[in-house]
Amino acid sequence: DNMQRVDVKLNNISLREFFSYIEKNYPYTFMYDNTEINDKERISVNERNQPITNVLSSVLKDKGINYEIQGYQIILSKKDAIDQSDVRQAGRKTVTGKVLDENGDPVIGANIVEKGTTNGTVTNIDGDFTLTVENNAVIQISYIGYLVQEVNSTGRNSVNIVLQEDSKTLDEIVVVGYGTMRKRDLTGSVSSIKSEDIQRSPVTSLDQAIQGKAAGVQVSQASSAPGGRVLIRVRGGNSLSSSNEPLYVVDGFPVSAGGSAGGNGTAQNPLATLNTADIASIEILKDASATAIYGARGANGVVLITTKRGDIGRPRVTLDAYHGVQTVAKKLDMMNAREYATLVNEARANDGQSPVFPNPNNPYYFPDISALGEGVDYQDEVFTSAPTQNYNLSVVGGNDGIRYSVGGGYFGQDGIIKNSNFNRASFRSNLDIKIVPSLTVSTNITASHSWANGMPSEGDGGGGTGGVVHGAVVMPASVPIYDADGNYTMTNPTPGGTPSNNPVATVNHYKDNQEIDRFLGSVDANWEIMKDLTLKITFGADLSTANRAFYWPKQTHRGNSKNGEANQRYRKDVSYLNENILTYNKVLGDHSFNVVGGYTWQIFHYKHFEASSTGYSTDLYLANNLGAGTTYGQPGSNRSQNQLASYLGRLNYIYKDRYLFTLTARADGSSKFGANNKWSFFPSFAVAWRASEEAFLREVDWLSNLKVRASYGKTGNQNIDNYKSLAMLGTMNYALGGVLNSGVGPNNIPNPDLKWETTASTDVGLDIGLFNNRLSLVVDYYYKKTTDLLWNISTPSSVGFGSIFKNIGSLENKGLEITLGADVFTGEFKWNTQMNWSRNRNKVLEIPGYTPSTQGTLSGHLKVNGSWLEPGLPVGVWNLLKYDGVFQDQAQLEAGPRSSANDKLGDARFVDKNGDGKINYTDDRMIVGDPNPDFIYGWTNNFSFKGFDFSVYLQGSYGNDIINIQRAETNISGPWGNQRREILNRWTPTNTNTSVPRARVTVDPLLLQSDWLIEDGSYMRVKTMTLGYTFGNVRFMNSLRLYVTGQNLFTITNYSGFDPEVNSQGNSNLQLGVDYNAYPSAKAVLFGVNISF
Amino acid sequence: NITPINFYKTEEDAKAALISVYNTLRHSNAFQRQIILAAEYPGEATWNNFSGEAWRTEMDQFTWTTSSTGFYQIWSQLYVTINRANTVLTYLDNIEFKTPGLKEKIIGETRFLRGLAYLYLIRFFENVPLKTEENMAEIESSNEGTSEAVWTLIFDDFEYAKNNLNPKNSGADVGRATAGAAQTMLAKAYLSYAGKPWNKSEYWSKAAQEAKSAIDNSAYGYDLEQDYERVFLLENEHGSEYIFSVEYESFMSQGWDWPTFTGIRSGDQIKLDGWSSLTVETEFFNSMATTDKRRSKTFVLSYQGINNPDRTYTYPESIAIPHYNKYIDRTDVGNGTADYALNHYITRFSDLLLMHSEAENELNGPTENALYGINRVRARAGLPLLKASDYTKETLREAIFQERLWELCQEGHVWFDMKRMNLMTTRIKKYKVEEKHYVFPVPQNELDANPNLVQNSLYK
Repeated sequence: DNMQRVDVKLNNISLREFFSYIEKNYPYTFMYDNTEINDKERISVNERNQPITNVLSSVLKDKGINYEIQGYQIILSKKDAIDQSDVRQAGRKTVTGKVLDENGDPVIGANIVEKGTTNGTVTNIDGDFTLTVENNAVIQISYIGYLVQEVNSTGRNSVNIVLQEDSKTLDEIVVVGYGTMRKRDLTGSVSSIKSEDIQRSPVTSLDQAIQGKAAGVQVSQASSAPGGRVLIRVRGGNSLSSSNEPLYVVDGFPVSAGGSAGGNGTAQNPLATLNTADIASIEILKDASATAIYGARGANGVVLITTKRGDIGRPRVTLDAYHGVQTVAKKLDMMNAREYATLVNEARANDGQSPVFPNPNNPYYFPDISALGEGVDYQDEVFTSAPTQNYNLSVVGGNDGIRYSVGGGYFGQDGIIKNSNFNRASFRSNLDIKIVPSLTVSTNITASHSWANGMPSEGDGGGGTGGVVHGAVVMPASVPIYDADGNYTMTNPTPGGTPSNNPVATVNHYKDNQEIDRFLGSVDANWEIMKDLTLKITFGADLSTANRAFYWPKQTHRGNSKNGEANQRYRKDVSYLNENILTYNKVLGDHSFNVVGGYTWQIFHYKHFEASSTGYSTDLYLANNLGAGTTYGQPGSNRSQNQLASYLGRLNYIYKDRYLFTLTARADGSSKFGANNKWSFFPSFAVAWRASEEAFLREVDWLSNLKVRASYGKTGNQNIDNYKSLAMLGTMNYALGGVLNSGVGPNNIPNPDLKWETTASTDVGLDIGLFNNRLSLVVDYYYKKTTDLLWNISTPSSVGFGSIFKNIGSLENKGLEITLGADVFTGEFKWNTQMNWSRNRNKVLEIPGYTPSTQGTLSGHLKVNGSWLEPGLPVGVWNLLKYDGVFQDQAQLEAGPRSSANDKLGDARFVDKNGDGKINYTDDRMIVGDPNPDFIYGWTNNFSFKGFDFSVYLQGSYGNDIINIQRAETNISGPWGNQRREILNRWTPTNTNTSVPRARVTVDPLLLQSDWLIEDGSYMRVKTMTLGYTFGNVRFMNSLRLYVTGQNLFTITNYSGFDPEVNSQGNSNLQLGVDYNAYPSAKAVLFGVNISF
Repeated sequence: NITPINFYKTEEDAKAALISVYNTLRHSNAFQRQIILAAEYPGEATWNNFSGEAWRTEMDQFTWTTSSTGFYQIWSQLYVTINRANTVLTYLDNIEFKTPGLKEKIIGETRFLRGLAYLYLIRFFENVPLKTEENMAEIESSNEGTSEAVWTLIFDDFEYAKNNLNPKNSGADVGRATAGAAQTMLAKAYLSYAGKPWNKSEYWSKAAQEAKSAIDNSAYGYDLEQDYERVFLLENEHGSEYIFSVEYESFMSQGWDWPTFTGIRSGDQIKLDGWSSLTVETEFFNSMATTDKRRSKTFVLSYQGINNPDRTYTYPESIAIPHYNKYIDRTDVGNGTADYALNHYITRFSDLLLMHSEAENELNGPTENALYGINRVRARAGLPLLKASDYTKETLREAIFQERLWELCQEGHVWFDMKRMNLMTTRIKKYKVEEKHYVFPVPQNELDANPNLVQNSLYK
């Protein structure tokens, strides 16, 4: 922001008076040798709101004085006499040029120097310069924060330069809690993602921008539906019962709002309401030194999102747009009608039942097998290719008084399941208004409207829920879409089959409109009370209103059985914030201090309302007229509130620029906790040593940075429901005389000692930069122990409650993170590569009074068990039988062990763990799977050559298991639903050398309680590939870039489901790596353009 | 939000607090499912055809262990009823009542429900902690030597209810406990205390006396329906035979899924398909005379398809195994698989008649008095009446048991009947039945959570 605009109106004054006027009113200082420069020369000047460069150029034009602006220093020098007298002298020439940044914006005030001389100039407001140099001179272009570039002037009169940001610069500023710091001064572990990294390839939401870009941060999809929910874990999960999501802070505002109105599928992702084009940087705070300043909300890590702000200069307009097409990345290979019908008859024959195909009573659905062909491919009927598009327009600029960054955008994505989509329109306005030099008022405002149509995907397909993904794979190919009369076939009519809903009727007719309106705004006042001491006062509000309205019309099975079903849900989240932060900076000789202290207060309100009705005479109302139904469902509503008051402080002390110390503390008072534990205290301490600044290493040329860091501290997790500590009364109704009576009764055992969970973490890190930081390495090892874990611990149920919510137990996470970056080539052909690798090991340490047990069920009607929780083991492991192939022959059957006396040839075998000769679920189960990866990694490569840029981004996970519940329906050799084609290899008397069980009508229940469902979920995925070309100076445009991007193009995996990157159980802490009819992922090809004016 | 600090202040609060006790009856761990299953599967009439829960097979085949899941569910849910009742009784003293008699009525209904919960608990588990007030501080209560005190509390609770409740309710109060219900349950409590394992034979007369008094009390107005089928019609669920039921209603989240649970799986029988999770033993199906008028209501013999109305399904031609028809009323159409409205009888008049017969028989042998109840039940069923001269005390006991099975099957009585009459080991032939099967173990989860509990010696 060197381009300050100035107002000067002075008549007949000396140059010296002009300089002091500028120095007094603007932040510049002039430096010159007054033996060389005659500052007594008289001038007149009259300029309004002009960039300083223009003013200087005009004032100094005929005075024989060159100027150079470095930061806020203006250095004046006498023009070379020769230069001045004879610019056309032989051997010299005038070179003109333009300097742009990577976004195509002009760089104002860049230094242009003829290498080896003092001859130079700076670029003007349009980034243009003119300089007279030797014919074969080397012109050096430099600007703070960018890599220095050199061009040879031989044979050219004009040069256009695109400056590359110097991302390695140690003076890079990173955002930290309640302030900013130079990266070189950090003692904590912070991953930083800049807007260039986000915007190089299109991403639809914030989480996608983070995925694979920061070591130790695991991002997984709870739903691949447009706007679908994601799961972010920073260094593993710390809690069993509270949320493990990191705290998100947008422009200093800790946000919680943006939740949807509930339900399955789309618009579930609260981060989807933020426009990624607005983001200037994302910082992920990982260790206690960085997060302790967020106290009781810091234990899960903190994601700081900073949006773009204006800077001084003429208005710069950028337009980004892309359009693309998505297709389903993978289809499952299912049986055709003939294969399925054969299986059904075979299963029934095996179980002593008569064949279903043909059924003379119902030849339409059950013809002779020979009359069946391929049948219906329900996946083709439900999946579609889907367009996606995005437009963003932004304007940035400003002058000394006001700086602005405003913009708006529209994003629209159709889903690959028909009639599912997500749309977002948003705008942003960030202003900085300097009222007087010591007082600046800033606003940060973003507002968005998101709207979507959802389709039921994740979860159960049974019970009339109408799951589309379930229907698309489970509905047998033998079942026609329409019945004999031309109406939709409502459910799977196959005897012994699941009453799966017809997914075609659902996608064509189900309506599920979901909307979120979000306003996030704050006003900051920054007052420089005195030199080095600043007070920042913030007031802000985060308002979010969500609505969901769905309607099941009569064409769908669910709607048909209820004559239309309509439901409306509203949710309102409001949070208000006040922060008062004092910052003091002081440098005293070798000692440098940065002190932050403050008081903050935040309140959260939540309201929810829902109503439903069924029994419609017409489908025309959709969900817009609940009163038109004939039967009204029980309405639901609730309201809750919590607040947090906090004192915080941080001291950074640096001695001799190489010994760094950070001391942080926060005290949080939260309404969520028990009367005996209202206030919590979270301290942290960190040290770092910049060894490369020591005298004995300064001489080592190739070593540009060597820093060793260590931190220890405590942070908390207060993410539990409101009022958990109190004795609550609940609604417990009962109907008498046909009329509902309202009942009120005790709901829980109160716990006045209830408090936050505490995570103590230790981090040791090493930062290395080599060869002028062309090669950089960051390594961190951490150990985190969470104590006072909140858990419902069993009480004698004779008290009336089976459990009490208590602080009990502990768990640990430890891990290693490595980030490697290199500018492999820096010439005209550039290759920058960034790799990150991380591993986390999670283990429950102890839960006194808890008997290890299975945590719930993943599917009620299929009876698929949830994970197993036991001290000594990681969270999420599965304790099930181990599948051991089938009884291939009589000898094997006789040898056993059998799980049932009725076991026959071709039935499943299991490992007899206790060796008692029989299979019993309770006695023979063992840990057969672990959803936690051995390690995760990301690898980004950026190449550029002349105007071309190419980037490839890979990302993956290794060693994690997935429990694929879909297998419980499609891989069971039974008529329950359509089966995978691999079941063609099932055991039959003529196909005995196989591990696929024989066909049966009733599935062996133990099969579904075994690792038959578990698969290796490791994968490596080419997440995005982008090829772009930038044109400089095209007509009225400053720059024009065209690009094509491929997303999810290749995935290497052995996983048999739609997508290994799956986490159907959303934000559950205990059920990880679950694939239960997850919305399939899409691959996409996008064409885009970036234009700047 | 409501907490005890801002609640329990007015008469309306007291009424709402009482409703929360009634609410516990329809929990699936209580009378909506598990209690019925615990009393039915280990009988001779019922088994689990399609069932994912191991507990059901363990119950049906007498292979249960201390860890079998249903025991803990029943134990803990009955204590929820007791805790809510104790909460009402504790906070009632804070409230100043203006309506005369209201306080006594609320106490009476609350104590009826508490007595009911304890009656099921003590019959299932025998040694259970006695909790009579809301107390969250002392939670590790012992179950040693509590039996006498628990029985006394049950008798006192029913006695108080009998003396303070209306003989009969009308209008919006239908469904609340009545004096008649309290007296019937008091008779049942005495009967149980007189039978195995407590064997307090002096209570046979008390049981007979209370039963007789309830049968004859014209203010209660109990009588048998003429037509057995009408007992299980939605429109007649508070008919003359009704004494006390768990109340269900459709379309207000107050229904239950029993018709789904017992309905025929993939059977085209009910709108939302059944599960065949509680089905009929073929031997029991065959034991009922074809002339028995109860037969077509008790069992599925024939029906028209609900999705294919042109198809008729019949047993045994197109229905593979016998199913119950008792709680299937095709006019009972709720809003889903768990929204049926037909109430579940905890006791009804034929139960009372048969209890009276049993008490009289135990007291005086096969007299006309003893035959009065059973013959009224048989007469309605179209069966020949019993003659006293044909029976000894022992054979009449078995006849009463058999009659109860035909009359009350699927209503949650048979395990208690076999226990009281000591018939389990002799009547169950299919599976190995031992003395320990007359009582359920203290649930392992509960033992783990409470060091002061002692396991029943038969399970040690």
